[in-house]
Amino acid sequence: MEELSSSHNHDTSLFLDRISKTYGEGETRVEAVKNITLEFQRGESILILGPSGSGKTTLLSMIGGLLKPTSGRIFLHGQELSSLSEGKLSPYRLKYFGFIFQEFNLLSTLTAFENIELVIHLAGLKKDLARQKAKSLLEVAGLSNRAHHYPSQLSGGEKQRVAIMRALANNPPIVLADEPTGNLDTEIGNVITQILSGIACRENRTVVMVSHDERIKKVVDRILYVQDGRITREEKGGHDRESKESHNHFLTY
Amino acid sequence: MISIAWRNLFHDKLRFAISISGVAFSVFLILVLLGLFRGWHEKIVGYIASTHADLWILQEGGDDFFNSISVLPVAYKDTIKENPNVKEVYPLIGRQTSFEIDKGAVRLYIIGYDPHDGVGGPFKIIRGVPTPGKGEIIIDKVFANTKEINIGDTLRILEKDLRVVGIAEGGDLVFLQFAFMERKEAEELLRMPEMVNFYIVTLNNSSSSSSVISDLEDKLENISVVTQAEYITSNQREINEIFIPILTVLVIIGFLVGLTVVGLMTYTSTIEKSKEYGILKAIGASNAYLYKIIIQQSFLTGLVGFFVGVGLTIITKLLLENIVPQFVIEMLAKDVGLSLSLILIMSIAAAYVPMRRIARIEPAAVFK
Repeated sequence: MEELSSSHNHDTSLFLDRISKTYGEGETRVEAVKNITLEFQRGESILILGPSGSGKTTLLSMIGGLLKPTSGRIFLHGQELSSLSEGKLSPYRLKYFGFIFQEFNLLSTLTAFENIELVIHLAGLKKDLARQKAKSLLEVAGLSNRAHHYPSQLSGGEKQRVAIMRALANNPPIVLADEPTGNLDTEIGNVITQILSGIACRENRTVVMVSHDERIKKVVDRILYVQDGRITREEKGGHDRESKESHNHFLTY
Repeated sequence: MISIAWRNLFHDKLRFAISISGVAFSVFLILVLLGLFRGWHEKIVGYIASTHADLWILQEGGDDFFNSISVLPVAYKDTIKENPNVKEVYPLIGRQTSFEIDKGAVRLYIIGYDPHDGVGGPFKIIRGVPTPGKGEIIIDKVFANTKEINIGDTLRILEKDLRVVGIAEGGDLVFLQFAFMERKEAEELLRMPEMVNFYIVTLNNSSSSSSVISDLEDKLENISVVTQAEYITSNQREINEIFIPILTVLVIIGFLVGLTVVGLMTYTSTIEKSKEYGILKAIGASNAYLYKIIIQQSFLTGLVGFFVGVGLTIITKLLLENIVPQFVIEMLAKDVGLSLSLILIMSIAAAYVPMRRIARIEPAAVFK
């Protein structure tokens, strides 16, 4: 944990060194990710594009320390994540990563407010401070009036905004999003896309997104094309850092 | 802290109610069984304890008040009294007797005592006279109620008519009740002239009991002299030997029923919420945090079930006291403490399998 605290205020880069992931054995053996080497800089937004089954979600899981590579190593600010036990990985996930999911993945028995408060509480902040912070995050998301609603009482867009606030609650340097617009209509999807782009640009976080959504291409710095577990192509995204569009704010929504 | 455990429990109220019922049944079973045992355990020696004797003199081998045969000559009283440390000697007759009421067989434990001594008589008179005279008998309330006998009625016991002159309470042993009469009357009734079954002895100084015991056992043949405490213990020993193994098995069954219900409910709830546990892992919750949720769930179920079980037992105890007074449930703090300990152990055990299951949940499952 010492390394965690000492590295918190520095630029964080993530480095994937020839990582591979294999599932099953024998005839059922599937090589989902094959020998990928990548580096992400702080403040950079990246889109991983690829067809279903291409290995992009597996890659995202490994980047976030949710899955261990079968071979290769992952470094976060010099610390090798891939060698850490599950017990040691959880504080890294809490402090360094914010996760956004296609299915939102809010806890069904907690309100919007509590879903955000929980992760702040997990990070060790005192109850009063955690509540204050959760409240202000909901204000930023424009959801103060929905604070005490359960996920089942929220719309898709509202759920995703709560999920984004939860992902940002502990101020992580890296945000990972899996199909963040997948379950949203076009209008809400556009808003969420802008929000995620803004998180990278305005808040100097690394944002890695996995998506089929072509709209996201326009708001990221880099696009990685994945096919059969390999990065087949890399190109610059359409994100214009000088554009006012990128500097959105939740309150404007 | 946000109580995810509490929310999880209340999320499915039916499951929570079933879990609580299982624990409550388990607690109820354990407390009622222990309570009945304690009640009987105390009752069985209640009469002996009420005599406030220092020593009991019995025929050798007759250390069971209810089931062994002890017959001693009345003449022994003078020899016992000769010991300078003996303060008083009270001869006592005590024997089970069967007879018929309305052609149905009934049993009483007849106590023959000397009413003018006041030792060995009824615990508490609730109606009628405090001491029986010639041709009279005092019966227990439970016997009077179940057989619908009132003061002034006549009981025909062993071809002798005895008029009921008093109703006492505290002399019920579930399977039979005490009845009290004059010793001489009992001698005649039970056909044991100039004989008694026991001697109750009080001492000038209770610390001299061992010297009195050895002196009396030297002087009188074929007797056994025991202290009040020893006599109580020997009478309880048989109950313990018979009932404790049965009780232990039943308590274990109660425990296992509760464990199974809480365990299954906690497990199914864990399986149902395994994706949410995966989410918690993904967002940085440690396994220890997740274990805490499971244990809290299990403990909350256990504790709520425990209090419901204790409440049920108290209600049952009060109902039984009014409806079936011969069944006395003695709720001791130590038994409540024991059942609470068992519930806590049960809660930990019930959480074990779900915790192992949670440990195996892959946080990457959140993407599925």
